[in-house]
Amino acid sequence: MVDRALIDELKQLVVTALRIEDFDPQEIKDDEPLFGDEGLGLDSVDALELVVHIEQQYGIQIEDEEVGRQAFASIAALAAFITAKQA
Amino acid sequence: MKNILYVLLIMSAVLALNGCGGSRSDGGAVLAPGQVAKLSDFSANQFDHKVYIRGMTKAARNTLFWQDPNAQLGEYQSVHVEGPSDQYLPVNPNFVHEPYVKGFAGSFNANLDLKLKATGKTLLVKTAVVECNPGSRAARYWVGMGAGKAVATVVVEVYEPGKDNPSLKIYGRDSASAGGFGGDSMAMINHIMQVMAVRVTTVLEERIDIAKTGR
Repeated sequence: MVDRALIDELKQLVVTALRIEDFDPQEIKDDEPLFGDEGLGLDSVDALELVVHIEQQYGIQIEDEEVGRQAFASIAALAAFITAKQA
Repeated sequence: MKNILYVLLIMSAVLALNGCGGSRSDGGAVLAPGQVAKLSDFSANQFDHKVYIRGMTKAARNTLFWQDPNAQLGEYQSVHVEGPSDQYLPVNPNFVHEPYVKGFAGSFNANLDLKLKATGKTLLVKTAVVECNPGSRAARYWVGMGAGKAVATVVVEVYEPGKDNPSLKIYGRDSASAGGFGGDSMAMINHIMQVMAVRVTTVLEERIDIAKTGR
């Protein structure tokens, strides 16, 4: 079950946390890759900044970078990861 | 041939400084020197990336920086480089990191032009390699999806004379997982070190140059 509100919130968080200017969060597709040459093209330090913000905002711990990498594959994957962590 | 490869490496790193993912703002209010972490806040082998990057802003691809708004970096004509320190690296009895730390030192010094300029008031530049992990070739080959990747992180801190807190911090982190059959870990770490040396020296010289010219 996709949590639409959480997905929209995460799109906003990505844009705000990474201080991306002149970019509508809704332009990020739910399944679009966040890292690498496709999709948003975020990099390693973007991932670290996002981990810090997500841990603060959602009260979860992202222990391991491999977990983080899978969780950060897309906004939809991130929403599923946070939901599972909070369950 | 080696020179051509080196020039291509520098060109690709400089191009990457512009990065992707849209333009970034400076993040608004800048934290004061006492509010940001510095290397000496951490115990040996206990560097915390999440704590260190608080308050830092994107400078270039895979690179963050923080600068004291009251720093007077433009007043200095030269730098004295200390390091790189390896004391903050996590303990890994199965990996010898020294050759890669030396590799970073060589690339950093080769790319740093500031110290060659006229003598005068001197800034202290402390460098450290805080992460140097060759990853797992088997995991890269069998698991894929970024698993087992090689990763390295370097930190540069700039101190004005008589100050206990840095006036400028630069954090660079990169990873690699490409190559046939999982790739060569040692070559990847060497490549990451060289690319990051170019990135952090470029950001360092840019920040000091901005302070000099006011742009």
